[in-house]
Amino acid sequence: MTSRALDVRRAAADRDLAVRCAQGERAAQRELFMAQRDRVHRTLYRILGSNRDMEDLVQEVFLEVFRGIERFRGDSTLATWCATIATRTAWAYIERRKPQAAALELVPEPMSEEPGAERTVAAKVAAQHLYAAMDRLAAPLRIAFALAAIEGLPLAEVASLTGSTLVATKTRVWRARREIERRAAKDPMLRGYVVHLGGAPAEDVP
Amino acid sequence: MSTGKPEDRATMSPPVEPLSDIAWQRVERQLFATLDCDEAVSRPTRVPTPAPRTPWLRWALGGAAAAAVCAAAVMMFVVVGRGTTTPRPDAGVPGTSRVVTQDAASEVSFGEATIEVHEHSALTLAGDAERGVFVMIERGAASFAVAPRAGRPPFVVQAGDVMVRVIGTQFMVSRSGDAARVEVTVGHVEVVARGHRVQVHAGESWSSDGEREAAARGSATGSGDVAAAHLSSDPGNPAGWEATPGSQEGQPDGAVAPGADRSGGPSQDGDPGAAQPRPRHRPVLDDKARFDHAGALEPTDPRAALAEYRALARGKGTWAANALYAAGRLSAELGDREAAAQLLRRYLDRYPHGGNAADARSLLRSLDPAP
Repeated sequence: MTSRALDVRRAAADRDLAVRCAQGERAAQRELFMAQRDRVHRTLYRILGSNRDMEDLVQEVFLEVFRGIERFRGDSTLATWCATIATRTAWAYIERRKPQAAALELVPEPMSEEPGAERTVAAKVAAQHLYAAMDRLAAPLRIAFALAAIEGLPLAEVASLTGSTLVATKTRVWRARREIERRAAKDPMLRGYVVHLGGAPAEDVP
Repeated sequence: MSTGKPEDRATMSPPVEPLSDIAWQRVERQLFATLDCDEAVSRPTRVPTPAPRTPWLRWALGGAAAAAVCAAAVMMFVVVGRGTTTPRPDAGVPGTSRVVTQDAASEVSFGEATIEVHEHSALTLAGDAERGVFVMIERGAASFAVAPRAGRPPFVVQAGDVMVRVIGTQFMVSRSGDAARVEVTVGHVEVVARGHRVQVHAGESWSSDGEREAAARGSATGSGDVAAAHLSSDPGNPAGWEATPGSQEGQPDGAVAPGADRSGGPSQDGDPGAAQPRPRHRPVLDDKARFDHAGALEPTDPRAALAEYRALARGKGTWAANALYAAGRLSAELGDREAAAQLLRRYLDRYPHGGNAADARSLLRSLDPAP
């Protein structure tokens, strides 16, 4: 079967599932929930990092999905549609939550005796530094950077998820990266981490 | 500098911490409970609740349905910001709002009702003051002060499978998973669960987790006295109601106990002990039992346990002190250092010579080590 034929079949399956969900069929809603929950969670996590409201946010995304499923027209896959709502939910969360002066735990966890434990802890601490730096970014920049630089999505897909143009998305990623690198200059832990993130360094982008 | 290769990202991107199976189950359960609530308020003819056995339950569901019919009207909620509440209108169902609290309780005023949403709780409200209100507790607890319903539209609270019809009262409903508890401070309410109903009066409580409650109560009072109703092991009585001689509760026929005023006149709401011959007036679930209940929740639902501790800590006495310390300790265990420190300092302010004062100071020091 050709790739196009597969796409057509998948689109038909998505539309069928969406219709059943819109009719309030619980089995269909559970099927969609089980199929998309990991991607929704991953999208939220990439944007927000470790977050104690994660369960609420996942639930909020799926409520939005099911309450708006009648609007699904099949222009994108259901997976992309859910990820778009997850992105929008994360955006709203960033906008409405209060600034967090010292919300992140920067204290390393107790060291384990297991091999590689030191590296694991270092990675966790570095990730905390990264998200602490991202907390300083405006929501559009943060989201574009998280999805493109951390998650590694193509810029076109990030633009689609955020409802932005490709140029605007590219600019946001560049501005976010420049800001993160500026902070990394003063933070060795963050610096060692940022250089490994994908995408062109800020100075390479006009 | 970065090579920009995908493998770099694969190895260096922060790992995504997965949600535990229990967390996913919780999300799924709450999600579909909320969708059920949506359906109840937006499509009243398709309420997925088992067919009511009693005239009263039909009335209650009708009330909820009536609340739904009027859901097009815009609800006016005044949120008194005492916590990190995130109330928001849910666009999917006109006239519904969802309130979620985090570390602090919040108060929602709605017409003649005041609802205190406890910490780490979530609830959905539908309807309006003119036609009736339907509240669904997704998790945690909420305290209600509702004007007597005599001549007023219905006010119905649902927690899991349990429905509470307000008659005119101050009461609290808490939910942990599928278990629910109702405590009445003033007036009385009717609780419906699994097709059976019971009236719960001021100073009484009801719990769907009757065994634990009865056991805790027994240990606290030193007697076999139980609440207005509790679960029994009688297979012929699936809801487990224990009818007390002199009352008609436990009968699924909608009968009202003698002296009970379903209309909830002001005289009774103003004086919960007056005007009603009550053959069985029993103490509300005592603080020790609440403390034990919270302790039992800690391993499986620490957030609910924390909410319970914090609610209990608002009171007075030994168990309020213990609960305040326990809330601080549990917050620390959950990694919320700021809240833990705040709670422990409050404990030391209120109970500088309390039984846990030394532990509180020690824990506080560990949270904020000296440079």
